[in-house]
Amino acid sequence: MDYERFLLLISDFLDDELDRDLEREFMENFEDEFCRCYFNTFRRTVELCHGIETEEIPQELHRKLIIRIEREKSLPYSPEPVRRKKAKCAVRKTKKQTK
Amino acid sequence: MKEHDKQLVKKAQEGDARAFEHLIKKHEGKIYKLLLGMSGNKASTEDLFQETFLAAWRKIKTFRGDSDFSTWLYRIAFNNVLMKRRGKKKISTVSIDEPILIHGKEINRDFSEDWSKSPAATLENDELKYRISRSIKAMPEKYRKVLILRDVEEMDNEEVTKILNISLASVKSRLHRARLYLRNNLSRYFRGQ
Repeated sequence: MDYERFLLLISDFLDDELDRDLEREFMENFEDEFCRCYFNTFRRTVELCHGIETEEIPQELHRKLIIRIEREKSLPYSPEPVRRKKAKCAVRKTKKQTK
Repeated sequence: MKEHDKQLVKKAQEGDARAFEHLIKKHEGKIYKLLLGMSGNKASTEDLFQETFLAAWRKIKTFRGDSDFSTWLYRIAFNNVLMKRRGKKKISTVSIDEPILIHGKEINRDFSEDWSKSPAATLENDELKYRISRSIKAMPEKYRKVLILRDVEEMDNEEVTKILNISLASVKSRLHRARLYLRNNLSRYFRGQ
């Protein structure tokens, strides 16, 4: 039994991405008890991942986000940090010029 | 891009915050789930969640619609995770680059117990749920991203290649390694380790 090859193909078999010949070759491994067990636990692992559900988004979090967006929207100009630096320089320059 | 998203994006680009709120409502569940999977901690997730949508709002005018809005949003979310990690103490992750099971042509038979039909192999088992989340968190980021997108969020390979901007071969090989690693960890759990 070539376990290395078995492991190499296991994901593609599960995702139905093997061509017919490779699929047949892979399925021959099921005669081996170890491969069968290994495949069952591998498949169950993926199924468990599919079933992971996270908690609902806290309502408060959604509300906070909307408030922040509304606040940003009401600002006439919300510069990036780098731009802000440039803007400050520009202010300094104009101040110097007026002096 | 779906027609409804297109219209909402167009309005949001014109400064319509209500249209953007509709986009948030549509995508927030998946983004929250992704960020929780990536950070594994509620407080960081909440920060990242807000930063992701705020960044999207600030950059919405630059979105050209070449990809789905959700793909664009996922990229922003991943970038935020990356930015947050930068400068922080390196999180210790396990190496899953080395072969886990095979020594030459021999396979480690310690892993052979079939726990797949065990009544404990369910997400109602809080201990197992914790083990899964801890194992995912311990994976190097490049594997974790792919596993979360493919097996937790159940996206197809094509979507994942677009979001992560990596080849199909990379998606497949990273997913494969991540699954093997996770399965082995769960096997250890069922062996009481």
